[in-house]
Amino acid sequence: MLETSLVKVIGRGSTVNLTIDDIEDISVVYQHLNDHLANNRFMYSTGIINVNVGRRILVKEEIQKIKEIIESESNVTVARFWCDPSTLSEALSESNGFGVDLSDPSRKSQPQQAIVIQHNDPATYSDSVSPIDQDDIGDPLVSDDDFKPEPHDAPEYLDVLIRATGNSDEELHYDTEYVSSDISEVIDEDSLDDLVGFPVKDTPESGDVHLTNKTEELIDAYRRNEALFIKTTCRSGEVIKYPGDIVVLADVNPGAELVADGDIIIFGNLRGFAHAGASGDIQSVIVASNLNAHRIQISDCVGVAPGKSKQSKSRGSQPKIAFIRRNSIYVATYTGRFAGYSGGVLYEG
Amino acid sequence: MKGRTIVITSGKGGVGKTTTTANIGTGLAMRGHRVVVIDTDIGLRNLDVVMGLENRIVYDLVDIIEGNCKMHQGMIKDKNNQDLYLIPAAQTRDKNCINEEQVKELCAKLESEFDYVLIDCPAGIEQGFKNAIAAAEEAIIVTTPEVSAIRDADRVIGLLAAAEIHNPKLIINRIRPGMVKRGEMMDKDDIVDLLAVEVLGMVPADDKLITATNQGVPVIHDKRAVSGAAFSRITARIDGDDVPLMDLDPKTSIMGKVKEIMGMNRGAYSHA
Repeated sequence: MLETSLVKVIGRGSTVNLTIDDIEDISVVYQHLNDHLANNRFMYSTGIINVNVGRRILVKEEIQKIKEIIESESNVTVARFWCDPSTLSEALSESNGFGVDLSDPSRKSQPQQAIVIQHNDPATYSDSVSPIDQDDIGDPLVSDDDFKPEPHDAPEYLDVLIRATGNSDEELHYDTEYVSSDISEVIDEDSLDDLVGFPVKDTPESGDVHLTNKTEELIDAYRRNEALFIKTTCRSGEVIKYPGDIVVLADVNPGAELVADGDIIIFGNLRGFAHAGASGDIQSVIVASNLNAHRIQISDCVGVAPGKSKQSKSRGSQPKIAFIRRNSIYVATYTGRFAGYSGGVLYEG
Repeated sequence: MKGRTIVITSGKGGVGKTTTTANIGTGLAMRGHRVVVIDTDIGLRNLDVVMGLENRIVYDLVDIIEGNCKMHQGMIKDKNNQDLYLIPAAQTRDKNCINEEQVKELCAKLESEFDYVLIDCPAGIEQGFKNAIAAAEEAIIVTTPEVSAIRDADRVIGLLAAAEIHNPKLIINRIRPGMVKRGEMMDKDDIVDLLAVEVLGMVPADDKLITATNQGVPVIHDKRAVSGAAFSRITARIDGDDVPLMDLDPKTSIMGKVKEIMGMNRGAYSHA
């Protein structure tokens, strides 16, 4: 991470994010941006760049000016302007509750940055009661050096948000509704396909990804760093991949696939395919109120349900938990804990 | 008032979409509504055959969409009903020769003239399916009590939800009350348990339906046929009447009761 005090640069893969300070006067920002680009010209030989505007509300002229500076001082192209949704909602709630003028340059930057960190770091996020109520808002241990301007660990497609459209005559709107309703426009289709929806291989026209109504739930969950809650039936052909835990409050029908890096909890009937610990975690489990799946997988272990005689008895029975023991999958009656099961039926066909 | 556009679909072929479309269309027209049924199965048209209108076809859906004829020239009036029209599919073209936008445009015009626009969807989930569901606001899923048909119905319900068509209604076709009773066929509850959608009606397997279809007269005209009666009730439900689902086999044998008590009617099939 390179930074001057007002311009911060984070490179991740082929994407470069540039964060501009949202407190200082815009002309000072212009100056810093100019200096930074001039001093680091070797870094900006080619490519595209995203600009995070933080909490600052920019008017069209300002956006154009920033774009102009970047594109004239370097060879990169500005792909879009955006801000982090949590920063945004925070800024909005603060401005409503306390009447703080967001564009007020005299406002001390430190407290606001501290709040931002609370939201960006999952570890501290869970401890924070409410960003506004924090007593340690001005905690000096959070120095500028620690300041993370954006959740850059979050996947790229969550860098959703605001695109500065050139034809907008108004101020750049921080419209959260836009984020949720038109999410399909912002997410690029390749990453979306990894995420959720009907896989391309099943549809003849590749790239024609069907958005399911679960996409929005997924994006939201990811943003909050929580398990993915699915409230509708997962139907045949649906593939849901999630890099955390998945909780399904409905049935998982035959032909549906759930792939989670963490655990999978199903309140309904599991008849489809569930794969927990997909990134290799053998501690992961699958819990289902009705475990009627023929085949399940945890990490690399594939479990196949035993013969039909045992299957039919399980209809309408107790919740079951599937776990790995000695490189095999066992299924036991769920007794309200996640570990320490000893018995169970071996799932090996 | 703007008409209702309903797509009749199933995913799997041969479950009775076309027969259902013909009967519901006829039934709604018999109830005094202005109805148009559209066959979108381009290349494999047969709604016209089921309705007995094959000989009257001059223009078809593709002709209307491509502007080779006026919309009204392409609509065939039913033999028995003044208020029922058919737009047949083209037989010599394929499903890719029309697109979703064109179907939407056509249906928008039809909705202003008709109370019901019923779209008979082709089997599969390719372009033909996309065309058929493009204009629809409601959907009726036809399935038979077979695992394969139900699996496809499940997939189609998912695709419909992705296309913002929510809460489709289910018609269970070709149900055999006797087999259900003996536990050899899935019953309504098993199917609803899996698909989690509202049941619009159940149509028993009926020889009269096959005869009627072959003669090109929708079975709903035959008051004595059980399948015709089932379609009448389905039509009434679509139209907003509150008709309870009928027990398809009210006759219960003594032996059946004994078996029931002894718990011998366990399902012999598997969902997995």
